[in-house]
Amino acid sequence: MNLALRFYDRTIVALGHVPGFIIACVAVLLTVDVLSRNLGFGGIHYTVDIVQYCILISTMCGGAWVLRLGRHVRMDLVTMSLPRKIRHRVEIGAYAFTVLVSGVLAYFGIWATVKSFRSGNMLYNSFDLPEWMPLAVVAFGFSLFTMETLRTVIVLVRRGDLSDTEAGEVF
Amino acid sequence: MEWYIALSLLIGNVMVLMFAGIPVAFAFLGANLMGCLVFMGGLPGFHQLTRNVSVGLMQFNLAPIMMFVLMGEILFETRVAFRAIEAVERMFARVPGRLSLAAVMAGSVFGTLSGSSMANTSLLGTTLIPEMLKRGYHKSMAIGPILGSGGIAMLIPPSGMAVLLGSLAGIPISGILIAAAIPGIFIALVNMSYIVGRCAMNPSLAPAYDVKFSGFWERFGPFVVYVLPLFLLFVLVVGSILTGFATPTESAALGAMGAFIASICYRSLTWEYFKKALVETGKITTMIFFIIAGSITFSQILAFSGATQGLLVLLSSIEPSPMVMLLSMMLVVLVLGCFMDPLSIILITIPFFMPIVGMIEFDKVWFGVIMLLALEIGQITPPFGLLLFCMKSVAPADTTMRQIYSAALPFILLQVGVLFLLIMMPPVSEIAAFFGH
Repeated sequence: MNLALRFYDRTIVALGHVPGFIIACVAVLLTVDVLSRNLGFGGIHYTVDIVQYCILISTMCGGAWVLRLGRHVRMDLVTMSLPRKIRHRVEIGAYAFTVLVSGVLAYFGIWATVKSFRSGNMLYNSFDLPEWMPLAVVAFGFSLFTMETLRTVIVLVRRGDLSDTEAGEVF
Repeated sequence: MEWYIALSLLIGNVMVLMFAGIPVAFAFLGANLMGCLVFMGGLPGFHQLTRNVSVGLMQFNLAPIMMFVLMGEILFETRVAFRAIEAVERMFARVPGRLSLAAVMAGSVFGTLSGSSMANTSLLGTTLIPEMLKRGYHKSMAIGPILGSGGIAMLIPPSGMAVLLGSLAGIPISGILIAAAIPGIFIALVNMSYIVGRCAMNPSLAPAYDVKFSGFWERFGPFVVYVLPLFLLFVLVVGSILTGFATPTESAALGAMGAFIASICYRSLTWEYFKKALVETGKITTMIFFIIAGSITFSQILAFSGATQGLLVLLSSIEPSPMVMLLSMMLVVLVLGCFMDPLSIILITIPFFMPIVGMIEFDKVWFGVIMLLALEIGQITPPFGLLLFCMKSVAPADTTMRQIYSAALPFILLQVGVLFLLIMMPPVSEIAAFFGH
């Protein structure tokens, strides 16, 4: 159990570094593309599609990690003005609701992926790609997000605050 | 279901969920799930929603956001930006409100480089406020100019918020990037005039002190070394768009690469700084893109429910004058700006505003510039403007919110004046739109 939790924890952290890496690659790709086109070598044919897929992958890989760091924007104007005890409960409720929303999206993401895989739908762009691939990325991202939000709820219930914790410490 | 019930249900849901402290992205996604359940027949709607999230994120137009964030982060983490601000500060001597003027000018310079109002305000607050207070500046003259110029980042290109507004509203990105620079520079000039005038009338606000430089180069050298070369980044980004060398997305990547090369030239880049800049960029863009995924699908459901169409039919039946419509829209942005962050305001209002803009045949670029300015004002408007809280976190511990509010007030009034000027005087807006196109 502990091994699995530690693996989960390392996965979240490792995936958190994917967006930065992808962004660096996109910067290089776009620069090389614009330079090679203007210098008469012709542009890189697949750039637009690759960048689009990169945006999807980086967002879905980093979502859970950003949640762990508490960097998803929240409006805490109302909750901050509540008494401490009530605020704590409202916070648990807010994260529980997020688990629900994220869980539903993960479930239907998996469903859409399977359905698309069976029907063999394709995305026809500069290079053809089975539609289930980007859908699988969405399903993966929301699944991770659901697990991480669930972890946040458990931390809030058990500890009362979101001080630095790793998954293994919580469960 | 009547359109106004659908509208209240969807907007009401988002607002309630946001104020309940649910992450903004999931407030939108939660309202979307409810919308799917009510308007799209439940399960088929959920199915479609996941597809739309994937399609909503796979947009080439979103790439400049991450490139501009990367550009600002590289300059910030490698401390190139700090050196530029110190160099600007040295430029001014024997001018009333010297450090306040430096704050406005440094705010405009770093705004050009970072494109982030929050980064701009916290950087200026951290570096300049302690020095200002040490020199006996009144808190209003230390805090106000920084708040007044912090938001300029949103207007002067490259601006991440302008790109976001352009991509979501279907406004030409090159147009809005260039046109927004005019009011941005104008606000900087208005702020500087106000500071000089106010400090000349009441010198106790910013006591004069002797600044000793041994020579011309000691005073202006750092500006030449640390600031002027950075303007090449601005030239690179805007120039590559204007000359057709690169698209707005590509120009943003060139800017990021330029920042990388600049930090190498200044011998400021280490592997640690670079890694940190990438990680920070990843965090910010992931957060923004999650919200975009939620909001794009939200506007689709709004349209599907008939709410957008219903509102437009109602407005066209009333036949208000275009000016009344524009003023009403800006009033909505200003009021929302007191309570919400600019990103959320853009996401909530754009699905309604852009069809109205189309209906009354406004120039889209002009509208985008005016909206950016209104958003900028909202960021420093009490009680909940984001930059006010950002300032509270970097100002000395004994600074009260009341002091911050009163310091911001003159600059809010100045910027509201510029906003009205832009709305009321067609030549100003036509010039902006001309450059924008």
